Amino acid sequence: MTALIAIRELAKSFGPVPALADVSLDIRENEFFALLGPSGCGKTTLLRILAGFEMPDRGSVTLDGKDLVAIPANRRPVNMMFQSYALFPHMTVAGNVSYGLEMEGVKGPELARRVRDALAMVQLEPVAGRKPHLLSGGQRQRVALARALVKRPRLLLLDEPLAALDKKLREQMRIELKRIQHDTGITFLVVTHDQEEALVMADRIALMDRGAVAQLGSPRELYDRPATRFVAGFIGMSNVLEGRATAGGVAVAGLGALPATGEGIAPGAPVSLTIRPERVRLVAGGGGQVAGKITGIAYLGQDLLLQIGLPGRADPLVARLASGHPLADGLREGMAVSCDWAAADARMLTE
Amino acid sequence: MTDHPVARLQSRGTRRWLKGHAALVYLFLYGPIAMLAVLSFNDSGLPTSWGGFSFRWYGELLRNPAILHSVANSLVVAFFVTLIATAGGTLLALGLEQGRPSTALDSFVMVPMIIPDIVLAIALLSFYTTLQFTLGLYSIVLSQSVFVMAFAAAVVRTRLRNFDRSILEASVDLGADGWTTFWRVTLPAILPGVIAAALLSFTLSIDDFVIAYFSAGAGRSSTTFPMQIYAMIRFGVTPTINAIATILVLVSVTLMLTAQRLAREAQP
Repeated sequence: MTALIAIRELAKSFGPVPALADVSLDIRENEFFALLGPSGCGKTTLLRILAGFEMPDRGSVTLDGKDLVAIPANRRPVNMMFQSYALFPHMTVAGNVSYGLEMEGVKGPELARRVRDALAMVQLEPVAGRKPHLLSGGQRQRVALARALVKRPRLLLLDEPLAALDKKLREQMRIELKRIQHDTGITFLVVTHDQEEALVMADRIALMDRGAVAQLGSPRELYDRPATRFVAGFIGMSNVLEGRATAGGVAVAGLGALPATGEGIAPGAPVSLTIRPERVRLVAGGGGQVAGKITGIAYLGQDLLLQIGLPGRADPLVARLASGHPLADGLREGMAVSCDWAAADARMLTE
Repeated sequence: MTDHPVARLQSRGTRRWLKGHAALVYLFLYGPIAMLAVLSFNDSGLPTSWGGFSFRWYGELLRNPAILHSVANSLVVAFFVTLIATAGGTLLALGLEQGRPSTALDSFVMVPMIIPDIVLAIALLSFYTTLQFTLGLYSIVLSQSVFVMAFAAAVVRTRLRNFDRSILEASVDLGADGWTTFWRVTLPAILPGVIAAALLSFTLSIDDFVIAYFSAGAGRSSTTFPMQIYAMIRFGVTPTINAIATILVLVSVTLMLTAQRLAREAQP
């Protein structure tokens, strides 16, 4: 796959605060790419630079090898779906969708056909003649999507596309967006603060923190092999134990040597051990590497979340196990339990 | 309404007192206007005796060349003031809402609304004299535009305040330039505000006496309608004036209701 968008050492500050600090990344042709991060991490600034609403202070952005920054916003082959949807309130649904094509000089039967096709793609033909204020939130969202897609951009930017929808609709639309991206073959770049949304939809995720890319990779890579403590904490839930690297793991004060893996870390270096709750195994009858007392049990339907208090530590170890686990029925608060994990499931992180 | 928390806090006596007060206010406000309208149809022309229903004074009005001339003047002035003040006020509102919020700029725009008409009138008159500007209808248009524009800008700005700015970015994103965005997105989106501003401008212009009087110059040719009424009233209230006033009330109420209806229909 070739790079559609190449971003190199892009920097932008608002006053003394750097919003983007030398960001470099490639977005490939035909991929569903997510910019993920907490608010203020610079993801929206990057999106607005790609749309042409902000100018970078330094760095370059190319699209198909051509300088994108020099092209004014209204002539870029890039369209955006706004977080507020930004529908034109005085135009009908069809009017909103045809606006962008009219700007390109598309007329007559071709205009009508393309508007119809775009509305059909998002199942909105029955409401083509309505004004936006008569539509539901979900319908408005789909008008905004059709309006941006009808121009067949090289890159579609989606700013928190699902944030304004209720939970059930949001889950449906994740699948729907994925389908539309697949059917149209247009490269999607979605900005979101919702890690679950990014994990479900994206082919690749750039997780951003304070204006820089903390980690770039597939959802699996980010989840299974977080590069920093920030990544481990932002994507999903992680237990973190501080200690010093040893030959086969981490020596944690009060708990002894615990198994973990990490590449190129010198023994004795200060490290954090991170372990996902679902990788923590309960060991029947004691004999695990870590022993503690259950301080809380949360029933989540499919799964149980256990808080295990460890001697001399304020934060409990969180373990997630299936409700059907053989030990699940006997668990009570205050019970002594023992657990362990495979060395491959625990990561040693230096940052 | 009876279980409104504030209403319950008031005693029965207080409520009765407030109702009585409201009735008096309405009586004082609408009583004379109603009387005026009734008298305009009084054939006898005397406020003391009813001589039967007639359109006589309205006919008289149409045969009075001085009144007709002044009405024509007022309409011409109001037309141009509406045009200038609405266009200028809209641009002013757009500029103020787009720029960095500035209390100083905001207050300067409000000044023509706040300072007494008479002060503005004298200031403009001495300004024209300094420039050795010949006075006439166009100087009335100019003077009225100054203060009416401030009102028009204020009306458009209330519309701009709950205006989603991202639709302008959306228009540019979809390929439109600034000019197309203004005509196809910005203006239609704020149009109800602009129309309301135009109706208000027209009413303010027709209604204005002080500023027009000082800007009109000496000649009778640039007498506007309120100035004509003022000239006539010096010889007592004639039934013709009642007829004029009734027409004025009718026109301004119609304009106001139209403006309100437009504003309501435009609300999503």
